[in-house]
Amino acid sequence: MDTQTVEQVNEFEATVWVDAHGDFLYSFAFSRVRDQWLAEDLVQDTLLAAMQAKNAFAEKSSERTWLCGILKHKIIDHFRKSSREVELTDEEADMSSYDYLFREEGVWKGHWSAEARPAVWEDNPEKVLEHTEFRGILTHCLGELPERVANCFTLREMDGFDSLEICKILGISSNNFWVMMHRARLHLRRCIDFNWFRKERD
Amino acid sequence: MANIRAKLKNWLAMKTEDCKNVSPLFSHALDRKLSLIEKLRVRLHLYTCGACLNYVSNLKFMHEVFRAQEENLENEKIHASLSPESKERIKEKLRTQNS
Repeated sequence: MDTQTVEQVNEFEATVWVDAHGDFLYSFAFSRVRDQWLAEDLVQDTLLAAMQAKNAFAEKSSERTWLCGILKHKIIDHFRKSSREVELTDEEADMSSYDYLFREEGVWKGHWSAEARPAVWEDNPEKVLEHTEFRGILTHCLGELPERVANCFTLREMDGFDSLEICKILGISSNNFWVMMHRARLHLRRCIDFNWFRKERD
Repeated sequence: MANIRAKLKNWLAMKTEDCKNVSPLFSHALDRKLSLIEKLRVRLHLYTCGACLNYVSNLKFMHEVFRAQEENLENEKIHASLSPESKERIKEKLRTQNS
């Protein structure tokens, strides 16, 4: 087979991938970066890289798993680059914006304020995901966090990286990591409670 | 008896660490092992504080939500998709890149 034919085959397969795996790869990317255009670019970069590395694809794993593996690398590369471009801001590691969740004076100083007091969430994590509105709230709440804080959270909760790996990817100190995770959880819990569970309770 | 226990809890809650101070530990516990001292601080606080008990269970709920979302993705239960225009755009890019 001459090179021309090989290229045609590659190209044919690559365009087939768009229909076969495009939506899956896009969903995966979107859940990590929460930006439609960025997610599309990442899918495109992934398929371009896959097309060039087709020979490296050993049939050990499914085509989709292989493509998803490339996408994961692309996403982490993106996090790495965008972290390097911007210095850590005070806002990202600052906890004072969450002071309002706790009482500021009196004998109960430091305890949950009446309005922010956590309540029981009467629902099931799998069931609740079936609601389009809930999924939208999840994306919205993650999007309200500073980008690096949200990325820190998703690397941990979605991709299951440990603290050391995440510190390396995002170029943050371990102290930053612990603050960011706490901060992300305080915010997400509050945001999900406010937008979903509170409405159900009222 | 129940009354005395409630009073004791209330008194302990006032005299010991507040929620704001302990709350980072609830998050840390999901990412690393707590030290013995930290575990005791968490135990003591949760004994006195119903709101923080709810907080901890909400955090676990969120953890489960993200785990379930990943599982859905793996099982190809997906809710987002590329528009036909985007698909065409990507295909075009793949074609031109190759020639």
